[in-house]
Amino acid sequence: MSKMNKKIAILVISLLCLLAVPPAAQGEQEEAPRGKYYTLVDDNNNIILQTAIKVHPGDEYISSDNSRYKVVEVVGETARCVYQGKERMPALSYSSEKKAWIFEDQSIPVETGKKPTIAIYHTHSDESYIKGDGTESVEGNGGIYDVGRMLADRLRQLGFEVIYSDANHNPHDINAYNRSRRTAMQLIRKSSPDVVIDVHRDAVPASQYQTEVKGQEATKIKMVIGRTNPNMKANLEFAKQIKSAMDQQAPGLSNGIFMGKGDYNQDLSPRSILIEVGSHTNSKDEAQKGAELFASTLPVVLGMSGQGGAAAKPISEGGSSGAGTAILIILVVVGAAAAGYYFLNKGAQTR
Amino acid sequence: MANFPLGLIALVVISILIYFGIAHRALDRLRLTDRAALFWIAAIIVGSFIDVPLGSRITINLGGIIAVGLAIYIWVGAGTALEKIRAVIAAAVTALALFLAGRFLGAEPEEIFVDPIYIYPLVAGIVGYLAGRSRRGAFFAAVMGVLALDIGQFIYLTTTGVRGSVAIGGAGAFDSLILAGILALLLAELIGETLERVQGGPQTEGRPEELVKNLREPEPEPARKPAANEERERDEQDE
Repeated sequence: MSKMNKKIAILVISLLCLLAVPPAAQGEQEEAPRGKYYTLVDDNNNIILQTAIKVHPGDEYISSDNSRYKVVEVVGETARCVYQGKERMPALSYSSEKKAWIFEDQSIPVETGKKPTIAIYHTHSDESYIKGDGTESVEGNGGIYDVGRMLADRLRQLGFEVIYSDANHNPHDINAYNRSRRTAMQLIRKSSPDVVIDVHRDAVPASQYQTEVKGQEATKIKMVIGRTNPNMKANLEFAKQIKSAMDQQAPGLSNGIFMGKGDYNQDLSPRSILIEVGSHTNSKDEAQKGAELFASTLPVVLGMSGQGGAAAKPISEGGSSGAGTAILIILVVVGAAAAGYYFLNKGAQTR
Repeated sequence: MANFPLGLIALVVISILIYFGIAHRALDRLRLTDRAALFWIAAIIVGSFIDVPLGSRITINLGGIIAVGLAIYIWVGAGTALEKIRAVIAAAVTALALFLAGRFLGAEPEEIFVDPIYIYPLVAGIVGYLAGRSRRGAFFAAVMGVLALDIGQFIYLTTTGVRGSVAIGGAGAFDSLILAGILALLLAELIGETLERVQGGPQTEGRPEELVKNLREPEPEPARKPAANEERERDEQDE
């Protein structure tokens, strides 16, 4: 047996040994409560945020009041953050001419007359709410679908084209995003959506998401942007526009924007976002209310003037500045990779 | 995307062009001709738009079928019988490793050191390379490993009775099946070329003459009209 074959044999045998471990001991991944979530604190140990997303140094968070924090150290389940200053958010002002709220620094609008299309899907199909579903996890058919459907229905009422997928991506393991990637791509291929939304729920104490908006009990909504995806800048610009609209149209609804280590399939569209609608500890009814309120802020973001989608003539400019930076970064990375490739191959011929 | 501003449209177009450019360069390294690599890329792109249902709970994307076809085509053309056996073993080990990664590595992308979309190519690239120090081995292992995992998902759904279906290669040219193949190949290339660079060129001593010949830069032969049987032989070799 050659040396290489021996190595392969050892690898195969050790993998088979791992397979022999009983499933219970393998701890097949389910959504929380794993009784574990991360707490972000500032220099004075004030709690900034609690999240079930695993936090790493370099992650950033724009809080409800637009303070930007950067995680510098994670010890156990506590992440120490440094205040970065107030984030400059896209400013909204009312245009009496258009009879609508519009973003002030809006440049070259693209007017197509086509209704904006929004695609919605769920990567974690089991996510559920204890109050409403009786459990935090239902294999392949969680309460999160009810929240997604509510979001879709409200958006349709507002005049959007909505394409909703109830595809199941369970088991809730590391490959769930690889499976939901197909759903996201199929939605993109089918309808070239202007926005792609992956709807989730969090797994933290209910107080993190409990809110009252315009006198109605609801859950807050947090947006999550994958900071290791090439579209990150454009995605973030878009999320910031949504947050501005949420703060203006539904004060108290936003639970900020978290920029975590991940891709979340956001490389597939520059206007792709992940939203966390409440936590498993909040009630599903209130999560649905949160989703409904969230939907009502999107016409402003996508430039649908007036109410009820009466004038569905989009004048959108979401994230173009982010797009420019993203293009520059992509070109620099590709240039560097090409130079490295050239160096490796230069003169590397046989003797 | 109809309502995207120009900046976003440019971003999407540039990303796609760069991706396909890299994919083309990658397939070039499989000893396909430039034109053949372009043909396969074009076929995968066109195929991406077509989903073929294989029953109520399973569909397969034509782009995915073409990638699997390419993997088999490359496997058939592998240099030696040993390389073929190694590629099959690598594919099995990759599938097993990916399955275990799914069970052990945690459920959320941020819990692991690298994003899930790079787990497939990383595992397949390393296993494929170890199994034969071969780019073709890495490509075959990655594509077939991911395919095996999808078949596993289908078995999981049908045996547990959980609702849902499997879309093999469903994201077309951007599917993890194809991404895994291309990135695994590039990883094998990177490891291989770097090691060769460090040792000052590929090891040629004690290797079959057939393999060593392929390492050399093609030298222009004196111009002469080839005999009919030579032409036929060359055609066969090209394939």
